[in-house]
Amino acid sequence: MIAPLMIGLTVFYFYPFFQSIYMSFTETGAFNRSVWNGIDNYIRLLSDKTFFQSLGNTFFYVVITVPVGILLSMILAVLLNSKIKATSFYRTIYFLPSVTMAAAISLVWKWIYNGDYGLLNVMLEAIGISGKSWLTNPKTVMISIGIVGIWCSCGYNTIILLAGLQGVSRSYYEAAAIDGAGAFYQFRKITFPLLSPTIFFVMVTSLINGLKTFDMVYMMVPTTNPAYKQAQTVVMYFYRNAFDYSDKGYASTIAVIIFLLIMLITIFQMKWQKHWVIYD
Amino acid sequence: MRTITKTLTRKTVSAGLCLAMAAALAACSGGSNTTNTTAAGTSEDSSTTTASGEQVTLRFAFWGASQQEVSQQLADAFHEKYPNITVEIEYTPQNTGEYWTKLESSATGGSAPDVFWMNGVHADDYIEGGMMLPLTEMVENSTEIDWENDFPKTLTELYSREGEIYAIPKDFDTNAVWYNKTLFDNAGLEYPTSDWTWEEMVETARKLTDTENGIYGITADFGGQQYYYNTISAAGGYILADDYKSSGYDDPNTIQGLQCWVDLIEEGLSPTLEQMTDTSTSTLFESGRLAMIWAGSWNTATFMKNEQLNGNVDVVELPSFNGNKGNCINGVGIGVYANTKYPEEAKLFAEWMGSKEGQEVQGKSGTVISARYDCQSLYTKAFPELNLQAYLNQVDVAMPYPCCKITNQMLTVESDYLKQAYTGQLSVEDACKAIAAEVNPMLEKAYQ
Repeated sequence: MIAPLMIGLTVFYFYPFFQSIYMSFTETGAFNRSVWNGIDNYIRLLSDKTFFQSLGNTFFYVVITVPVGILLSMILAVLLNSKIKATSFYRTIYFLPSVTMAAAISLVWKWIYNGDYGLLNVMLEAIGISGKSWLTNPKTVMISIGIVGIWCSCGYNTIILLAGLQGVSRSYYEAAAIDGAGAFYQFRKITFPLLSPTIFFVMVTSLINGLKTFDMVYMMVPTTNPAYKQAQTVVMYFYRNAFDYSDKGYASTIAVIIFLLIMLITIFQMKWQKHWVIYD
Repeated sequence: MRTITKTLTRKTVSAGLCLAMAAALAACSGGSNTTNTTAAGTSEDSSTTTASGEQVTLRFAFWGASQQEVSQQLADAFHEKYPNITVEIEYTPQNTGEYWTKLESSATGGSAPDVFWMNGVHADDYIEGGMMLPLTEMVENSTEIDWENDFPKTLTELYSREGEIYAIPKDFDTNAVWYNKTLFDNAGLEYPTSDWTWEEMVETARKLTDTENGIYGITADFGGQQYYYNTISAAGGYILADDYKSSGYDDPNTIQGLQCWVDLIEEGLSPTLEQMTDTSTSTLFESGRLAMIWAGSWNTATFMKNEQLNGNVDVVELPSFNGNKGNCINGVGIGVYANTKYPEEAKLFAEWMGSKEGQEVQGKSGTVISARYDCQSLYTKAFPELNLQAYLNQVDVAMPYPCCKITNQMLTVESDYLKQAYTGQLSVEDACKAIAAEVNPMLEKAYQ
């Protein structure tokens, strides 16, 4: 019964996974001509400034998008869970970015952020602020992309959190209200603990997605962009090595390191959840 | 939602079935029609095994967005001559390298297109990787192609390695300056002529720049081929040494050929690099906000499709720099995949693409300059109102586009440091020295 699944997993996940690990110890050029070179790639990685810079960029992206993203999703989920009109309309609106192609999103946001003709600067000018070129300034590029990232992922997280919220029985709130608990106290003592498994799930997946950020940045920041170095994520650097430089061995090394990092962070989260996640 | 679903169920199902059946029928009729050449699929239907008249379908990959139409015309014309060979065109964009990613993956996996576009930058990789079928014998026996005399030497050298020929020159491109006549008329300026100098160009740009209305005289866009390689070539600088073992980035002449562009930005005659990243210079030119633009010959068809530009623009040779003319030449070749199922047919197509007949079809479209000497002038005739001859006048002095085994890595280093020079964080000289310091060891290693 599970044969089709296993065949798919083997061909598309397990084989490439082990192949990548093998390739990370080789010098592999175009057309998979490879020579074993031991840990040379790993040594090279340790002194590769561009790699560490892209790693730093990625962590910066995660730090600015994940906490704000989860907080916003939570607020939206609580609002959508309340008795307001047209909730399905709002749910659709917030979920739309999640089903839109990254390419389309990037194109539209590139135009919004355009320094000379962008919508954002037109709006800022109307209130007397002169905007700048958001995507080409090394200081603003990652924050600008982070905003798009939050906008994209918010809807998806909101739907998951909303599902969690709807599993919380109304009777807890009624009881708390009778005892005189305010809205914030209710949230802290009832909503948050009962929702914590869902929040945990959202956090783990958001972190993984944040660390793997590629498509939007790749399309919004071309290599000629003066802020390219400050925007290149670690997966973009992997892609450049693999496909622009045909240095697939080294690219695999980067991929293995990304994998190990994500694994470590996830293990840490799994351990840490004991302190705050409450399962029934 | 629910009510809609209910009422529509039966109708939609039957309508859907009708559509599916119609589609199936259409597919059948398409499949049986052997002269159908428009389908750009991936199927390789070799129906029979009879020797000479065998029906063969070749896949032909290319990246030129403006050449989709002419590629189909070429495929059709070839099919007319050889009715048993159908050529299916496969277009992949090349904005950020997608074409090469796809071609390399399919070549590694053994299913690359039978015939594909090749360029100088990637030739080494593909030849050394054994992905390209040597065409030497075909060229030597060919009555259509005279290797030494039909093509410029710069182009034949791009695709020859140690006596073997790996691709047939298809076209080449050089650079010239396009200018917007309306903006010149408004400023009361004479149109530039082919004997103008860089200083005259800067002076003209000064008069044309009108920051209040957002109009720029010229752009110092960030790119080698259409911009600084031309001035480097005119200034007597170079990018790669003849033996490829070192680079010429720190050569004083190279620095000079770069400094002039940075000066344009600093003076405000060109938009800044930030602005040009947000809004491409061709967009500025096409919307009448830019008076002069340096542009490669492949832009002609695109510019002339723009209604605002058509009838309102002309072309002039690049200005001389320090008294010398310079240019940068690059060209596409037609290569054959080493593991193609139909080597003979694929070679035949490559040969035909290099023949006078094939290059005439291409030349008449006005999209690119055909590589053959006897077809080059067709390019200038496609748009007789433009002075396209400007593109042909500097072929002899043009510097070949720098190609070596590590071109992409080299260009990344180049772009990393030059960007800092263009945005004023580094002086051009420091940037050039830093590039040379990084690139030279890379070259030494690659060409030990």
